[in-house]
Amino acid sequence: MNAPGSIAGALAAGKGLRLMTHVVAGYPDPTESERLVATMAAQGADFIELQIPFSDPMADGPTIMMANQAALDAGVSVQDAFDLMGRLSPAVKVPLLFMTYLNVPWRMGVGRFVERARERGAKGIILPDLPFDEDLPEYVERCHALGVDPIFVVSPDTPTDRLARIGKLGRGFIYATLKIGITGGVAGPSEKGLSFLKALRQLVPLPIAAGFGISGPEAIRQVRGLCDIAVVGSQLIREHQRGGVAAVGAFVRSLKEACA
Amino acid sequence: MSLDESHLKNRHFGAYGGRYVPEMLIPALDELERVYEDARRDPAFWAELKDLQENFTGRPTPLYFAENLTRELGGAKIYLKMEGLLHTGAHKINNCLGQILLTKRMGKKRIVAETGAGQHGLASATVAARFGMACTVFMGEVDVRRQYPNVFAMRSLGAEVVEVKEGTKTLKDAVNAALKFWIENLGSTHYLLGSALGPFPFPLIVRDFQSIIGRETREQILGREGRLPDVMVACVGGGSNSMGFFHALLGEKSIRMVGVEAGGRGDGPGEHAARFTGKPSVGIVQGYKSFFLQDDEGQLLPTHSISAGLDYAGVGPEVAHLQESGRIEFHRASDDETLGAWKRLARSEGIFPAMESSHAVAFALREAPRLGRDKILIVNLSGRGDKDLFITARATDRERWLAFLKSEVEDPR
Ligand SMILES: Cc1ncc(COP(=O)(O)O)c(C=O)c1O
Repeated sequence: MNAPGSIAGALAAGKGLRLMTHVVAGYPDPTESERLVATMAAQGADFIELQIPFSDPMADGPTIMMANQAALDAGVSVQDAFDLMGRLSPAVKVPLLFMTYLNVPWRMGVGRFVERARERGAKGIILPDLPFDEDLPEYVERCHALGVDPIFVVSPDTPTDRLARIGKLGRGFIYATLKIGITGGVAGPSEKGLSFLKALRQLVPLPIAAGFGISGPEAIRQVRGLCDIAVVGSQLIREHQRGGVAAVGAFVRSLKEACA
Repeated sequence: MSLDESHLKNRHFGAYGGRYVPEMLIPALDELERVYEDARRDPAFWAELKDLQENFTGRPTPLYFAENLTRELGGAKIYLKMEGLLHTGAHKINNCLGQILLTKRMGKKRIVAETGAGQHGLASATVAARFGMACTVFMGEVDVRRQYPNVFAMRSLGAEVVEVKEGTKTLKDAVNAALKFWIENLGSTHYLLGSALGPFPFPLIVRDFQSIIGRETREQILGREGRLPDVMVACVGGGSNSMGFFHALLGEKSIRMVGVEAGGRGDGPGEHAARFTGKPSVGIVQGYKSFFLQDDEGQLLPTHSISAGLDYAGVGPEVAHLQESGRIEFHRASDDETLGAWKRLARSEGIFPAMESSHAVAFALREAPRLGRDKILIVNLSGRGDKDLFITARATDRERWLAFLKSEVEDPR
């Protein structure tokens, strides 16, 4: 049923809580970000989002925002991110996804962006600043037609009627934030976030990824059983700043162990 | 959607606008839409607003006939709509009064705002003080330096001013920071957005609260001249003073409406903030679809203007629509021309326009002599120039100004 290497295929092939990690393409530099993706995959990440750097990343806190800015300052282009995806997707065994902000695909042409993402091997696309009902139906249509999963982000305040509609348009999984806020928190999942995950199960027929505020093994153990994928982003950048690729590898391993 | 107008469909003004934001902002935008719709139909809301406008901020503002300038230029009669005479020194307070009343209706106790020139920050801090609310203002590091009088005023009013050190350290980055602060504090905080931009319904709300400028102007010019003007000129940053000035008169097809954007110091990327007269391209950033200064891959470009309030890469969606439809024509004024206009208005009329407004004056100086003496041109003087001390003194009286600053620092008193 599931296309080879697809998100659904990867979810069907195993069991338990999976791990999705995050890398800003080209940060801290192109070679290092390539090494980071390979290391994360080797140490147990089940999915990896590759963020195409953008000048104005609206949903990102200071850590990821800084990484976006640093990559852009170093001259990393959208084209470079596509090249990175093209090199990595055949090399690593896990599904890779593109994450970026709408203006990047908009400028390229949304249809063309989806086509090129597929050509380079991306299995899904996350655009946090595109609500499902905005005036851009072409995006979801192209994603569905080409088999690239459009991943929608929802949060504890999203009304149930919107969740139901998102559940129909989304593919692969739905991305639930554990808090109302931006990326980079270290507080761990709130009660509200955890009960949202429980409710979401009944409301949406898709697998659930949970993120925003998962910064270590303890938070992963808290969401275990309530969702299918735990997402870790900002903390990986902080680990890299502390101890380079080796520290990131060890950290990913510890996250993976907490999933089990 | 009950907030629809003829060119407003599906939260877009023509092809522009919308609400391209993270899903988690949708409930807050829905709430704002609902509360505004309610307020709009409530006479008590407008009565309270009118009282504040008249007795707190000083409306109506005069429509002043610039007799000397008109004589000197020898062309069209020049009138100035004096928004700079309002309490806090610019049109920004019109919007802040309206939105603080909406904040109260939503039961929120705290506001966050972005500011470039500091005029919107100052107006926000002022209404926060007046209504007993907490206020956080984000302002780019570059703008803090050049608009320091407003920074001091905001802090004196009890607001927290946060310097934004990311990106270009100007208005665009202050908007990003304010949006993020809002996302993190949605339950308690209203984002008091300062221009006719951002996700819907902000462009509509800001324009509505500013449209008092055009309604007064119509009445005043009919009273003075017995007819409508031929040309109306406003500077355009995000589009709030221009939309407020134009809106009530958009249907009067005989009136030429002119927007003036920041020509900066050159044509290259990063040297100006001319979204229309530069290389126009459509983007979707900061929650709305409009024209942005961006590169081929969709990254926003740095901008430059001598005026912090026009130093912004985007422009409000309704302005974009009206530009595209041909209703508003666009011109630009350079930094130097703007400084010249500032000085000229001071010497000829005894009026200091804000740097932003000086762009509109610069266009009027160029255009009035080309028009017949029977024509009428009105400039919206969106703000007064007090805040620009650190820009104008440095640019026009450099040695004395720097010597003075030095002596202040060294004074042991
Ligand atoms: C006096 C004045 N005029 C104009 C502007 C430009 O903004 P807008 O285009 O929203 O009127 C500003 C913004 O800070 C301002 O302070």
